[in-house]
Amino acid sequence: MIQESERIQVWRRAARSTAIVGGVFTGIFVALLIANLIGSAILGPSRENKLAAMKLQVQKDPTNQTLLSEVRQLDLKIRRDRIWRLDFAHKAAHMLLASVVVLLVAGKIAYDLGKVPPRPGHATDRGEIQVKEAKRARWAVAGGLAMLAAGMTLVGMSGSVEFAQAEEAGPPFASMEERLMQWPRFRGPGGAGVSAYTNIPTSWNGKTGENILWKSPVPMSGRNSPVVWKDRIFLTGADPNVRQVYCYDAKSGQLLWKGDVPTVSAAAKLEIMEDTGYAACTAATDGRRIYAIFPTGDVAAFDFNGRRLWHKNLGVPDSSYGYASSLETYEKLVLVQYDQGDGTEGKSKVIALDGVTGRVAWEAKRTLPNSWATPVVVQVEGKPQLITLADPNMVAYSPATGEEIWRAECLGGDLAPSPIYAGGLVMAIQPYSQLVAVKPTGQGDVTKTHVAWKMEEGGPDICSPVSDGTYVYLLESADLLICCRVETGEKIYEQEIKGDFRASPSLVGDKLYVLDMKGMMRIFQAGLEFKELGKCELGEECFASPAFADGRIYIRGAANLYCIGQAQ
Amino acid sequence: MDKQEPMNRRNFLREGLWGACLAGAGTAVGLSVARGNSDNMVWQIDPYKCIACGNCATYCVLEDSAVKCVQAYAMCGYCDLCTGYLIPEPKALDTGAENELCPTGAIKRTYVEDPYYEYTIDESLCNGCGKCVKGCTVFGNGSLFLQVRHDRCKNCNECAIAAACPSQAFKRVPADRPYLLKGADNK
Repeated sequence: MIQESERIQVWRRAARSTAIVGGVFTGIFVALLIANLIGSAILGPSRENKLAAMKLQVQKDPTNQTLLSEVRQLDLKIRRDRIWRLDFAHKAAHMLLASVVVLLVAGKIAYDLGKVPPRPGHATDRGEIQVKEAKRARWAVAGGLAMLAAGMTLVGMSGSVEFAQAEEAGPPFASMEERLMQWPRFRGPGGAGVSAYTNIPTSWNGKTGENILWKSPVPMSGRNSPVVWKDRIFLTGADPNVRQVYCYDAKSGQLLWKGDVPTVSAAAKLEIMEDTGYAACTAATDGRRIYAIFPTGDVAAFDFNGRRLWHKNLGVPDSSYGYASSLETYEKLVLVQYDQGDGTEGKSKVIALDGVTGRVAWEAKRTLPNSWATPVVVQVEGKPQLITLADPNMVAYSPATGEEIWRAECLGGDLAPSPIYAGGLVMAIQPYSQLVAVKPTGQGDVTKTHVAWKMEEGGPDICSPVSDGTYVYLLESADLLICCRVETGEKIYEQEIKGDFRASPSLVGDKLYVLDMKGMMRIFQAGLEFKELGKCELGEECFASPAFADGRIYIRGAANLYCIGQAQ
Repeated sequence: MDKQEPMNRRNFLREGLWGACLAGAGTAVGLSVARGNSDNMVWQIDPYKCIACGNCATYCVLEDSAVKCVQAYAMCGYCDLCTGYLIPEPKALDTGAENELCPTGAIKRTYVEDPYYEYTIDESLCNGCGKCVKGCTVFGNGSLFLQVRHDRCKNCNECAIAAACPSQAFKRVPADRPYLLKGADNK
């Protein structure tokens, strides 16, 4: 019996010694792995930075053979070191695993062999303890029930919890009827440039303050237009480093909030021509959220209180003048026309993002080059169509699914003016060349079947057209106002009006509002005959198209946002 | 006749442990069978969304990232001045360390015929930093792009790179079609 006990003790000592060795090795390998990790985290970046600096030096001093040799040696050292560290980490991890297994197995054996059989003592009477425990349990249950009852009473008495709030908030987007009464995107509902209100001022003066309800500075510049939703006005601004969305109070002009939109490092060196700028794209709203896009490919959504809901980078767009297509919305989708490059690289597409989450709802790839026109969603025979322009096509998609409905090969060049839908025709401009009208009722390739007419006597390069359904008006950025008949495309008049124009013309009832770059609003009589009704001076440079609301015009100047209306 | 062992606490725990082990083994077998039969999804990078930000090299839970650069030979221009291989404004169009863009020397440049060179990726050296991808995409044909290599990827439920991806280029794809290859979608 004694021999048996001694034999067990020998085994126990052996197991304990093995466990100690396993533990020591475990500690050593852990320490080595940590040292390896720290070494690669500290040494790696510093050496890489040094190498990068030396490479730059080589470019400046290409004849310096010593430096060249040092660069190559350091480069080799970095690569060798990385491979060695990876290999070491791999092997040390396996050794660590083996050590841990040895430690655990030997430790368990040593523990089992050292166990002493239990020697139960006298049994104690647990009766009294159990009575006490039962008493405490009863009190605990009673206390819990009392707290539950108190909580339910409080909830019942409060009466202020409105469980129907979520239902009352309605769908995640405003109805079409609501949108028609607002200015939710570039050039208002459907991108038509037509005001839903006719009680718009016809006289103001920025210098004297006549009919200027308020004027607020805009923190950062941008050539995008105001977007209006009830008592909120939205703008965006940017420079090469910062992108922001602004929300103003329509009553006071106070800047309520500004939201930053981040970007990725790839966009840091983006260079954009001055005429386009870093905030050319107009924001859009679905009545619940405001969406903004920038030429860096960054799209962001904010709620009306300025909380950023999501941000997404679509990849830095390859656009020769800088990306400038504004956003459109359909129900809760944000529609982005993302045409890039020369069209052969497969980079161009139309993207629909879910406005609530920012996720891609659908994507329609297209082999079309970069364009600058803004897509429009229009209702054709009760069904929605998303109309897009890019050389050489006018393409219509279903805004809900991205399925292509029709396309017409009828355009060319760098397309910046956006399309409009009026009088049953989709009209688009080919800069310096023509105005084309297409019946949007076809399917597939409608080039030979649905092109209604072409007015081939020139066309604006920047400004979009506007139409009341009977006449369509074109504004050339030099100084020409052209009027054509929608039904036939026949040119009715072409009138020289002095000025330079970037903002697109707008229609208010039977009046045509045209804003020149000096901030002078020219008001003309719409219709068969050219007739100038008046001029209103703002006193500040203007590039953006104005926005119209009930009794008001919002104009973005180079540095300020103006609200024009009659004081009540 | 065997005497039946009384059920005390120790026996109960032992029996319970055995039962739990058996249940665990059964569950493991069941899950592996179910996994074999179901449509598995794995992580992959959409090369058209990828902006080669460099996060793939640093955010992967593996020390050596599971994301590697791949070469679409059909798209490659086999250029002498390869902007995926050489730094901007290189001193010379050669394999000198001072001219190479790749920090780990994972791209092999092989002469084909004047003036063409073939570029091959050594995956064991590539760390997925995407510097070559950016160079090739911005100035070249875009034949170099990043993909998650499934012989390395642990297919984590919540991929650390996907969570850090600024362009949301990471997506779940069926395991039987685990790669999103540039050029292949146009065929």
